[in-house]
Amino acid sequence: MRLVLQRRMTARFRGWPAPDRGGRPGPASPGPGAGKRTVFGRAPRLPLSRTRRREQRAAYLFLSPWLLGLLAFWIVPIVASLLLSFTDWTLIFKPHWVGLGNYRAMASDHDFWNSIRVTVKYILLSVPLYMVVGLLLSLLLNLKLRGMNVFRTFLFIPSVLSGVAVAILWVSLLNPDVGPVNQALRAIGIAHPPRWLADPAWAVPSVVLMGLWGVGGGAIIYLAGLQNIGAQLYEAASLDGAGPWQRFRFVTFPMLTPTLLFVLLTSLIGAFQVFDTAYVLAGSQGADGTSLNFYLLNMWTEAFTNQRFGYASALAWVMIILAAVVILAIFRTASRWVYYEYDPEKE
Amino acid sequence: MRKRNWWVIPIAAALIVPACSSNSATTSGKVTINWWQDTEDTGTFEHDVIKAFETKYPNIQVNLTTYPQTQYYTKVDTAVAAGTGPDVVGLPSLTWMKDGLLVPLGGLVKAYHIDLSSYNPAIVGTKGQYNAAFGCSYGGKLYCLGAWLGADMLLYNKAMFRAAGVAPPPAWPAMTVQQFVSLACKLTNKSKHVYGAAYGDPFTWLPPDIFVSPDGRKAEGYLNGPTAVTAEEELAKGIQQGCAPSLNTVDPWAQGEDWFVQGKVAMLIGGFFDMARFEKLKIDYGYAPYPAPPGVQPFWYTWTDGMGIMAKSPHLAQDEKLVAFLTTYGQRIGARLGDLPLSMAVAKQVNFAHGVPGREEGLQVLQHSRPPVFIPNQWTTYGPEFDAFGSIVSGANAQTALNNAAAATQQNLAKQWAIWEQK
Repeated sequence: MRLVLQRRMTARFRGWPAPDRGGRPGPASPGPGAGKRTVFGRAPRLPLSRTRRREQRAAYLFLSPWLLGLLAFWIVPIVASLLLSFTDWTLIFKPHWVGLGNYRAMASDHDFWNSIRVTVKYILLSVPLYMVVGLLLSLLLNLKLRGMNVFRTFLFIPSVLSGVAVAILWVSLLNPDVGPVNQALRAIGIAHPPRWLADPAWAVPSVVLMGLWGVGGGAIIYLAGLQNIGAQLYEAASLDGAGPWQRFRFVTFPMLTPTLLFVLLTSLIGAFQVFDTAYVLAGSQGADGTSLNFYLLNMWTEAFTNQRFGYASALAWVMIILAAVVILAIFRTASRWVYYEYDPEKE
Repeated sequence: MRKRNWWVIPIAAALIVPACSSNSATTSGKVTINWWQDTEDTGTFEHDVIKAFETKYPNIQVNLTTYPQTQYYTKVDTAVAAGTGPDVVGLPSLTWMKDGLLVPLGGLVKAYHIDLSSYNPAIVGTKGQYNAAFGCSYGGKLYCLGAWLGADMLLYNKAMFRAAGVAPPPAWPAMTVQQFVSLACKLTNKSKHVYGAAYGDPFTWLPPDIFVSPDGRKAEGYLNGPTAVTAEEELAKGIQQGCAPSLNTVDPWAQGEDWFVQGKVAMLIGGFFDMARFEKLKIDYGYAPYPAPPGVQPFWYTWTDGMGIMAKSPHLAQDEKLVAFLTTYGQRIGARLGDLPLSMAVAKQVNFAHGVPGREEGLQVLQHSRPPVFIPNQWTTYGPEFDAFGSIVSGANAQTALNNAAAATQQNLAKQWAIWEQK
């Protein structure tokens, strides 16, 4: 992806003066170092004027709060968690180095495998469903009807609500005895509707169902993609005799694949990160059952209940690696199904 | 010559020196005790105790810090690791007792002549007892003492029993599970949306002895044994027949009491607290022990606001004074605020029941308290049981569901015991 983008950017800037001084598009007038290249292909740096130095200092000074925050709250914890993943740290006592012990322990940890099963089940059910429903919604939202902006707003609102609030709302909606969902199902003749969150077999599908609530967020992204498709393509297709389905199949869908790729990646990342909903729902059942023991929830339990911070850090790194492998695999296959209107590789 | 800002030095010193000095003692000779407590309320009781304590001991100052329950143990652990932990700590965990972070209180009990014989045995432990969750003892030693007692108990509405023409349960002995479910169905009025009973997952209130071996290490043969299977089948039937709400309709400990005061639930797996609320609302309430399978001694959890002393505190003698004050005078302060004293002798002295039958019944039930079986991280460890009960309510075969749960729980027990013994 990065390569494709890089190539596209390079091509977009074609026609500019040929870059010099290490690849930067530079001024036409040669400086003292012009034409001299080092073994690394870089020209020596020009001395900065006093004003430029002062500006540089000021820039770093203004950047320093953010840089310090980045260092203290991102870089250091990331490095610390990597180091801690090789220890048996319990928070109270000093950590001891255990090498790959935590990573080896996962192989025989049934909670780890259960959390993988729950998370994979959720990914397989939710990601395709949300993508398809989001796409269908966006097609509806793209219709030129009066008051469409109101519909768009209504559909987007749920996706900005807090996950905890939505989870609590859905606990009531999916209540097996008195919840509106089951009352509606009974009203249409389903005498024994699912017990939803109260039944372990239905727990993950219930969470997937709840996620549909926020599908408007994805639909808005699709909508932006749809509105970027040039009208001339539809005109040309119509002139060639294409019907609505053919226009969707051969114009809309291919042109939307970059958006689909984006939504797929963000949905996958979101699915790996389910925590707040599961945390609230597990509690709302009055139980610590295992049917909603998502990967992050299991990681939290290992850290804050079992006090195995070293092991929990190792779990975090395994999740990062698993997510990275899946995302890289998608990137590797993207060239086969993602269509860019302008493909620099075919130039 | 460039002008130096010498005036900065004393200001910096004024800021830095207090920050580096100990936060436990001041130069005036007054000792400051840092007391951390897990509390969800505003700490009225704790502030009253501090006020009375500081009046009695003017040279000791107590700084109270309260945290919500969800953050409490992590806060204390983090502070202990950083060397900035409290001097005295509320609701100490068994892990802290086991890890030697707390001072055993045997000496304090002797020095202050505290009579533990009238304290709830589930809290202070019994001789030779290995350990007790929610209690103050570990390995036969006492690590905390409190002022008030909390207890789970079957709460019921006597007026609803009269209306249904059914006799209420006695304060002793306990009903069987079958009797309980049958009674719940008699009290249920579906047309008025009244449930006969509300109960959570059976593992949270049935005697732990039916789910685990006495040493807390074996689930197979217990969780899927005939006693547990029959009890879970009966309770699931109660929910299926509409005599009790589903678990996620009413969590007895979360919303159950609200349903009870609204007259929507006749019997509640609840607790021996909030009696003042029922009395104010003129509810004719009663208490009975939790039901138990035939031949099994009933069980209910009890807890206290136990206070322990951190071993690294620089002023253990003053800390002991505070703990002794809390568990003696503190019990009376708590009783004034409506709390049940930890010592049954104090409960009698302050006339806690003051002639209310429901209170008398509760005190009668409490005489039969017993410590639980210790299971490390028991709610997580027994997670598969929660799933199994949900499946049974949905129609799964109880024996099959509990066989699967027992196998999974056995794995959990092996893991949790390994973690516990490794820590």
